[in-house]
Amino acid sequence: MKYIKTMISVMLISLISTFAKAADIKISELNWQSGSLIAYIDSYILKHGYGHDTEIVPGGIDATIESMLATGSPNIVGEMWISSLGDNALSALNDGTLISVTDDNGVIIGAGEGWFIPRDVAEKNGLNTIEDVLARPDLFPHPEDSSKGGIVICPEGWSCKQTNLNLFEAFDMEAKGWKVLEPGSSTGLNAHWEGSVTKGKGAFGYYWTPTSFVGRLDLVGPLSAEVGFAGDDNWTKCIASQTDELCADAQPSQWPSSKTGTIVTPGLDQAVNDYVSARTFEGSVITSMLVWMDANQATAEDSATYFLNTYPEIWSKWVTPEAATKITASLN
Amino acid sequence: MANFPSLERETITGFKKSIDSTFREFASNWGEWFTELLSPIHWLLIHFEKLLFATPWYIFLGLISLLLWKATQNWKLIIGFLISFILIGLVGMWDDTMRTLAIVIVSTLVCIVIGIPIGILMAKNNLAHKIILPILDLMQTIPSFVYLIPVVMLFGLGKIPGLIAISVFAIPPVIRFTNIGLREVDKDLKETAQALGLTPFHILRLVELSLARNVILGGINQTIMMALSMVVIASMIGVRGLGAQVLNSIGNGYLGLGVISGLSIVALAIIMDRAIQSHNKRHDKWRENK
Repeated sequence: MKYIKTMISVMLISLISTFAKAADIKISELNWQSGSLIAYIDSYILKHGYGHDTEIVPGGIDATIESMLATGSPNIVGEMWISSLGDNALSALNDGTLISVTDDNGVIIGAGEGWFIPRDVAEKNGLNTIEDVLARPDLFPHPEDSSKGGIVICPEGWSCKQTNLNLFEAFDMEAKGWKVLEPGSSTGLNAHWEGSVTKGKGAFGYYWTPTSFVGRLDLVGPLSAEVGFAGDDNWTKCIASQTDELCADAQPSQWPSSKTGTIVTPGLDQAVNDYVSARTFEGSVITSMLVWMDANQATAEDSATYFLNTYPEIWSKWVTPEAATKITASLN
Repeated sequence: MANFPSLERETITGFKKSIDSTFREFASNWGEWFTELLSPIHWLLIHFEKLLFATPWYIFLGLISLLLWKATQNWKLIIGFLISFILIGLVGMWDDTMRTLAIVIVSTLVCIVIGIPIGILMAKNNLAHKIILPILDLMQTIPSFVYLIPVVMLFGLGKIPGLIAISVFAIPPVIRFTNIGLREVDKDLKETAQALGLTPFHILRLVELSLARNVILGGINQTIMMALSMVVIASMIGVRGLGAQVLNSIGNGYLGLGVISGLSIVALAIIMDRAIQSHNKRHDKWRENK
């Protein structure tokens, strides 16, 4: 199965990159807002500041990593969520097949995935922790069966789907009157949150920050749990293990704060490595960028240009003075 | 020079945003009302699925075989049905197939109940024909992703928005074929019926609909096929079943799962298609011999 999985992923991603014109640096555009924005910022800076011929390769987390392992392309993934990497990706990071260039604070400082609820529901009912929410399934009725509470989990094919299901078991949520609500796709997930909040209904479940979505809909989270974090061992080997089966030993736990890192293939220029390892964002900067993108329905490419025009004091710290001059010149 | 003189970027963005906010307001005011309105269909969907789940597999196979025999008397079709469903069960797709079957059958029923009267209206009234035809074109060509978001915002995730997404795409054939079938009925026959003193309702029921029967069944057949082809799209808004398995296999690169769940959808489609065709043929023969 693993072999087939690799094969398909390579087909999906490296086919695109092989048939397109050869660029010397291929940048993975991950399929969510901030992942896509960072890819275009990297592309612009490397192209105009350092004179590289860059190319954007779209793809999801798993497929991108498999493709990097199998073919060494794409070369840079800007915002990889380390907690969602599988075993083979982690071992590749250990033996140097792939390199994580970001320090412990992560690419986006304060990023996290987990369970969210709308702020007004939280405040009205005094819900502060996962346990508080789990005691009130009546506030979050499941659309298929309103006697149960619904928790929206990850879309099909996302590695966090199994994590959600394991936690559902670990918190014994079925006995507490809860039922899983499958969104199917990211379209479904977003529309579910948007619809619930617009209609003033309770909604509980998976999302992540920083996103314009969380800012715009005023969601609170990731919620912490009174039981705390179950520990790295139980989390990585059981709750978030990348298998299709439920893990019997899963312990109730809050979601760990997520580490985001930029992952590159070996053999890039020192100047490129210096840039990508210095390129980190405060969570609030990314959030305000994402809210701007949303409000203007801007493409990731336009938004990268907007970012470079608006926040020179941030990006000029990432690059050499010569590169900064070239980038500034190209923007005008 | 080569660029088309488009409106100001702000104007266009403002226009898009105003659509967004108008719709949000609509959803918050009317979402509950629409959900209430469709709750009988929701009830039907949930209980039909429960019924399929509660039926032991051997009784399911026996009942459907009997139904197929009644409808087609085609033993090859029944053997094909048994083999494919046993294979589906063996590879662990039984539950998902039942889920898919439930939503496809209920969607098709909804399409028939709404579609045939619209088709009759189109055949009887040229103005209605002119208005409805472009709407059908729109429904068949607009990318489904465009209406998935508003539908979920109104109805939440799950079966009802899935049913709406499927029905919007699958209803045009039954409307078109009903319209064509009725328009093709011989004028002389209608006049004869009129001369015999039949009321318009009786002419419609006894003469027109029964003569157009095969064409309409052809339309229903197309509707079922299109409903099946939409199950993957419907799974993107939380409809469980074979479509969700296809989505899962795409997301993870599971080739094997993709092939198995994809072929299960194909098996459902072929069986339903052949059943209706073979039923039609049998009906024709019976009429010729009479």
